[in-house]
Amino acid sequence: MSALNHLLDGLGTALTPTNLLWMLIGCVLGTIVGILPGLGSPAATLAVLLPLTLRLQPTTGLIMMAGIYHGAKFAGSTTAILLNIPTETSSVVLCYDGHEMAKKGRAGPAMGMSAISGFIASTVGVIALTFTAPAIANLAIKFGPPEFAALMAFGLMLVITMAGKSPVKGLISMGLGLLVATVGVDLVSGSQRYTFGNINLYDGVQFLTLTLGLFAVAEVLINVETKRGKPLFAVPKGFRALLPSKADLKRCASAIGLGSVVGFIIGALPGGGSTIGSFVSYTLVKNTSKNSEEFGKGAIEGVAGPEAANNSEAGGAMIPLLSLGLPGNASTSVMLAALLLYGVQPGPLLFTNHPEIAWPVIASLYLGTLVLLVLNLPLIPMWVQILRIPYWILYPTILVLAVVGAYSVRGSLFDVWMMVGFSLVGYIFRKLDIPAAPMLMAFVLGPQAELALRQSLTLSNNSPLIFVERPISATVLALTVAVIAFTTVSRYRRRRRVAAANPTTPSVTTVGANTVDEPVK
Amino acid sequence: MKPTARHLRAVAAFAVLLMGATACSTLSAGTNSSSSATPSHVQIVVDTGPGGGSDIFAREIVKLAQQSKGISSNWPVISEPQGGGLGAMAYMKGKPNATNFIAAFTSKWVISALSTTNPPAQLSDLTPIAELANETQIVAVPTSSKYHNFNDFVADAKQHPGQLVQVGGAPSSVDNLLALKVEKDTGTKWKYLSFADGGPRITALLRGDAQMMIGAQSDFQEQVDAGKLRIIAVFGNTKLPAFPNATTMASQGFALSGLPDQLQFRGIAGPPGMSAAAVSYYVGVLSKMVKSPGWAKYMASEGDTTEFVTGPALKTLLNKFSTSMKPLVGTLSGAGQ
Repeated sequence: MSALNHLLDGLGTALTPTNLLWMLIGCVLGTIVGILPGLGSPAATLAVLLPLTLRLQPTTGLIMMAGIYHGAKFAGSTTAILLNIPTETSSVVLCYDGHEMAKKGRAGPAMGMSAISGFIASTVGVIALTFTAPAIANLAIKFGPPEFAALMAFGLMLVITMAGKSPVKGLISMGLGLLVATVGVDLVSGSQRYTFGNINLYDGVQFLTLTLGLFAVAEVLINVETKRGKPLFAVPKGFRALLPSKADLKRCASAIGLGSVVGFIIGALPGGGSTIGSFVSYTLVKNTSKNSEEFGKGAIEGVAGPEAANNSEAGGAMIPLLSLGLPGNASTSVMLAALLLYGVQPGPLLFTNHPEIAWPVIASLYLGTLVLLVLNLPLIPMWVQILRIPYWILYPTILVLAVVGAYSVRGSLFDVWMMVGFSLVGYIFRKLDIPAAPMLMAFVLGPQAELALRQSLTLSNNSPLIFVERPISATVLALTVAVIAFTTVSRYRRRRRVAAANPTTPSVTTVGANTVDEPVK
Repeated sequence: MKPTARHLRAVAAFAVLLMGATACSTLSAGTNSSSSATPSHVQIVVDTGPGGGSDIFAREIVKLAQQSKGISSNWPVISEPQGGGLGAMAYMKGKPNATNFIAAFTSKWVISALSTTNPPAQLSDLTPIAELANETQIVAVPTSSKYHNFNDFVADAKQHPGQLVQVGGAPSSVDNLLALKVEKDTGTKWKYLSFADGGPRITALLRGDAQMMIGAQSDFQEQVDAGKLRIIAVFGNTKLPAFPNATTMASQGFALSGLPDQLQFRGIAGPPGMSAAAVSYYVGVLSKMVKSPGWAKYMASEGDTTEFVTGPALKTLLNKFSTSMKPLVGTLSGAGQ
């Protein structure tokens, strides 16, 4: 198999001491820069460090970028788990179970599982990239607006199932998120929506502005009010409790497998990316799990599934980049920029014209997660110490970082004020017991769902039949319906069992299946 | 665990956070403006995010200016992506008389200002320094397509009014304005499918959701080499060497009267009131750069032609472009509402 030979050659090139050193530096830099909100997104980190990497040999430079990319990704999950601050869109899902685990004193296992499942998933991703690239590239081309719209319906199902105890409150949160997401110049019509003529709103609200206000600052406000003087988190004693147990790993096996496959395929779709991958993976894992009622309360599969998707995506995202020359997400566009600046034109002919660059980069993507695993498993105890920092140091630090972070996205003071506004929203949400995560998720998925829907209807001259006429779109929709049906039936049975055992228990609110497929209509 | 060790760890974790915070603030600092003769700490403002067209262009300029010994320092690139150039222009307008801020403008900036009521800033507010390049717009179709020239496409559009699909970006982008012009001249109508990024646009063509796309050589080159796309027409006066079979729109019988020769151009501008000394400094650096072999190679790979225009001629060029695009932008806002 020539692909395997090439991969081994690539590994050989990537494994020179110089390249390994730069990869290590990249991972450390990525982790440190990524742990700070503001420079948190891998794309921004890559962009900041682009001039530095351009001084290196192309292969070495790209290998270092792969290191930064992985480091920043891992750091994004770290802040989400420890502090409930998702600094990139793909780690939003981790706030549900990752941070719940941290609250229960299981931050170590959560982070360990994030690193381990990330490693396994990127192994799967690289192997799949090596052997299935042409097939997956064909599938990726077939994925058009109706297919994306169907996938979005699946992703948005998560937002609805995660609405919590009160669906009304969940819908309020989600509605606000969708509303905030519409701000800006509309791509399809070119008209302005809710910009009030203010240039700072033309491109909409930045993800970090929203997440830092809604999560980071609001969390600080509420905790200062309620927990002053009390310890914030239960910090586990002993090294054993800092890593996932064998039972944890066993529980997560299927979640990791599912997440890896889902993340890889969605990562390969141009415009797919790790965010949708992590959302869809969480939905799938939750709805197929035996312990689905534990999700949202600190289920470790809720960390393993999305993190697996988040990491196998890197392998998938390389497919459109390397085989079609089309970047799949923001981070690969920066890699594409680097390739162009090195004078290498990525495209269908990259593998034939520049195998000396393509294969080491793929190999380094894989080595990057290995380095992270080796680097971070021993460091988890140190990261967990963040939880031990007294609140009078930790909170002012978070506030400073939040302001710097909101400012640094595009150097705008307006964004800082907007973040302050969102902090207020977050604070009121917590006071009224409205969950904030659906707002953030709707904000992330809303624009893509809207665009895919409108593009589909443009293509079909406004006929909704396009969603069932195209085979892939119909399959995804059928899968969505099947998952809803499966969940509803299993919940109904469980409730009946519970009711039979304890006749006085009031019924638990279930998810209305009829609301779920709404975006498709 | 001993309490001292625990404290040490807590301090270490905090130190890492703090270290990062300082690194972060130094990275976003450094926006001081000086106004001496030879500008120092120069920064280039672009209207796209990292990896976007103007971002790459600005970085290439810095690289090539260093290679041609025009500059020795590194010029950082600042991204002000709001509103397709409006944000970048407003940013420059807010730095009057500064000599160390330059912007990499494109013809899109003129159109963005034209299609916005009360734009916060426009290109004529700034001090144009030099035009550098023009990107020829070409028409691509899938290899399997039955269209071999633009007449084939228009004939099909006549038979299926409002059915064929052109893929592109925002409605105010040059490719859509060109399409509107052809539709108006030939009395045809087709659909325009918007995608924010280049990748999905190409896949829409390959998938068959869209039948045609207008773009630049760099958008299509790799796919043409791989036998996936075919170029069927060129907007402009001359054929592109890379696509000898694609003839110009004029030779295919499309007069397109009133369209400017240069449609997608790039250049460099300074803030309002930039001193003549600073302007001539940048003109010096850039004129040296466009003569370098590296620049010629870059232009060839992008399918761009070098158009080094400065001074009053540049002002005339920008004014002409603005006047001839105005009516087309007008039809756009009429159609959009």
